Amino acid sequence: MKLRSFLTLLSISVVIILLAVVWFFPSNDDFRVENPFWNGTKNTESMVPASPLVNLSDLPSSPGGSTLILIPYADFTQAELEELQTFVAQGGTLVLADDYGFGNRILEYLGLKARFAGQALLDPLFNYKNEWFPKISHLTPSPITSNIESLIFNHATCLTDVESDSVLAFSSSFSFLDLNTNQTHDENEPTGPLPVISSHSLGSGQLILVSDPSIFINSMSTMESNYEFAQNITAITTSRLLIDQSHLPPSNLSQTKNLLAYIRGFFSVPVGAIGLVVAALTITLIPIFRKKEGNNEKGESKETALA
Amino acid sequence: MKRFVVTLSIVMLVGILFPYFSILAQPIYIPHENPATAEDSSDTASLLLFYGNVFNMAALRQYRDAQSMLNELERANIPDEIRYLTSRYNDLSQQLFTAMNNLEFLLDKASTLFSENQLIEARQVLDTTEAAVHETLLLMEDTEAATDAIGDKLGVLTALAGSEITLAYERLKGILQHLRQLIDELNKLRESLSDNPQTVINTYFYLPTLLEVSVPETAYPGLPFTVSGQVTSADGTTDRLVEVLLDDTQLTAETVQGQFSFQVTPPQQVSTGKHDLDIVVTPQGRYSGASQRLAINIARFPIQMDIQLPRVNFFSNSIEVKGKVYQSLSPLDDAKVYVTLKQVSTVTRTSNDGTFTTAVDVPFDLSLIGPQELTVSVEPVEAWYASLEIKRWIFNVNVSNTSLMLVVFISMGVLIYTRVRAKPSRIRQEMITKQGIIQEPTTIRSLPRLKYEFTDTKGRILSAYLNGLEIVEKVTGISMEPHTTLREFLKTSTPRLPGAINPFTELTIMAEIALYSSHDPTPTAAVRAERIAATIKEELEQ
Repeated sequence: MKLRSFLTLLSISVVIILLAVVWFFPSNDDFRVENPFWNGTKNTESMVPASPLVNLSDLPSSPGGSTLILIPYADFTQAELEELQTFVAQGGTLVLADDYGFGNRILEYLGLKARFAGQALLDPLFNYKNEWFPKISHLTPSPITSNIESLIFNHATCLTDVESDSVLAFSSSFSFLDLNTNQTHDENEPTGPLPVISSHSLGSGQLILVSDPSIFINSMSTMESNYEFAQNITAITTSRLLIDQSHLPPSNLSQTKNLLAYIRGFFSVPVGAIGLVVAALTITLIPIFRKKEGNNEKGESKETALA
Repeated sequence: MKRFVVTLSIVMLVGILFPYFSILAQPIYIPHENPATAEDSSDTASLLLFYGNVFNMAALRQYRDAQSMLNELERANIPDEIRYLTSRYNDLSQQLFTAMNNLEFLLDKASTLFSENQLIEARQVLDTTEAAVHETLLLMEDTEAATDAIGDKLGVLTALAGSEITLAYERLKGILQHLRQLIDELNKLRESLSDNPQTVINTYFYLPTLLEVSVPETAYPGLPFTVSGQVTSADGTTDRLVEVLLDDTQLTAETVQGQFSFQVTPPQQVSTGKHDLDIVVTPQGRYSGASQRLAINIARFPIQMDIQLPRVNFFSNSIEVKGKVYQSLSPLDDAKVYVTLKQVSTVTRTSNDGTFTTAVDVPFDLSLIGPQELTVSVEPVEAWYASLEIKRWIFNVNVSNTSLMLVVFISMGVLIYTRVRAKPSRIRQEMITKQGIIQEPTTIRSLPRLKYEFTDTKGRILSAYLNGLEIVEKVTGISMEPHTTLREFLKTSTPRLPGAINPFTELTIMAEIALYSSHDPTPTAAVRAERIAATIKEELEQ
């Protein structure tokens, strides 16, 4: 075998193996529904269960009774913000779970005063393991907080400028907002109880703010009443429950997986399937065509030699 | 080749560096950590600060709030080695706050009795108050001792002066000092009341409330059930507000006096399973609140469904599904029925007799032949009925895809067959080439024969055969193809031979022996073969 053929075959083999690995290796991206590891949302997605949404333009046209869980870790286009506004205004429920992402962009666009603080909420006493996992046990009765004893957050923030009657959950009186990131309470830093979950009516719909998206990750979903919280979101959903995947930071793995999924999707529609069959036939029959051409050329050259 | 290697190297380099480009373009740090591997650390200074807040509340004579705060500590992250100590400390503190509340209550009662001129009863109450003061002081002493023990356990004594834990401990001790002063003041009030019965005392005590309640073990969403019980206040009956909450969601609030009984309805969306039903008597004036948490099972009545559908689907683009939905033989009307096959689904509703008929389209896909899962789910209108989902397998034969695949396989079969046919001739040619030294072909034929030189006995026989063969070919006009065996050629050429059939047959057999026998032929055989070849030549050239 020539070196060139060997390298070509080797390259093709490596590409095929890599594609197979990419296809079968589970995603390890944060908040991804395909991710079965500690930082994914596969468990939550299957327990609730929610359908992943890959594009906000795929939001239901009649959103009444539908709920969208949105983790805004990537910025929004104007069109996407409009999609969200329409979704909520027409009766959908938007669960906006954010801590350090782009949640405030949405709140600003929707005209709400409430904001995500964007600094770490620490609780040195009421916590799970350490102050980065604050335990939330001051809850206001509502369908979202029903059956909940306490919630555990993971590297959360708090909400600001929320009216008291909108607040559904507060952190403990011992918690504080670590403005200067020294992990110690200083005099000028706000102390608990601080709002962490709130509910707001917008048009015919509802906006629920949760100051920690990590409450939905696999490793957190079964802690204290975190599961019940997800269940309550399901309970208020009478139509479709969606979990947005389009505003999570895409890794190379997920991008490649998406590309492969797109290609697979293309081949599962009639046009793609027919194209695949035609391509398979062409590749299969190429040697026959070549042989025929070769025979014709040979015949021509023999005749030339005899002449 | 050089260009190919350079291109391959560039592709590999870009592939290696690509992840780093995306990291550079990634501005957001996702802040969460794996709770399983998170470091377990508890802040003991915070615990002392919290106790300080609790005792501060008690020093402000807000005993009920102080007790509520202490209850919160159940949820605090306290190291296991001091959890028992803190638990006992909490109990002791609760007792202290109850004793102080009771002391204030007795002082108020004595003051009221004096103002109503019921001197004997007032004196009796004052005597009880003295015992209460004594009990409160004892509890205070125990609390101070326990505080020292906790401080010791948390390492306050070994901590640096001015450290967070030392400051928290000193603050706690200071607040306990205030609490002791308060008890002393209450004692002085008791003494002044004893000396001067007309003294008016400002007290902050609360009156306890008792609550008894009973509820059914199981309730159903949307169906009302009865909550009954009795509220007993400390000094007689009065109107009290009773709230019923299911998992913190208020179901009803009623004003009752003594015994009560009312109906409540669980929400339609409530999930099934164990739930908490809280019956809460809200605090009112000096009356404390009371509450009871009871476990209640929320269930839904199970429903049944019969389905009729084909087991095999050959050519149809849709599958018809019929069925009946019922509960304890009573039909369920207007229930939503969803039929889903892969991503395609259809929805219908049951009629008055609980039956339904619908058809679901078979989606286009690449599958050929195999089972497909069909899901039929029912959602009754009434919330107290459970939804039901049944899955069935349908064996589906995808005719169009199967035809397409057959075309592909037949094409591949044709290709493989053509290749297999072409191979043996090449192999045979190669084998013959190895037998001898190649000479230039004498004539041009459709398949030119190669000339050989044979030297040994075997070679002489084969050479004789070739001589005979050449004449036979010339006479019959049949040339021996490379894939033809000696015996096959003999069989083909014999009918056309005008003579010399026997000699050519004998020569063919001798050539076969020379070719395939493990024994070397004798020189006599070689001579015989040459003679036969000469005979053939003579007979056929005549």
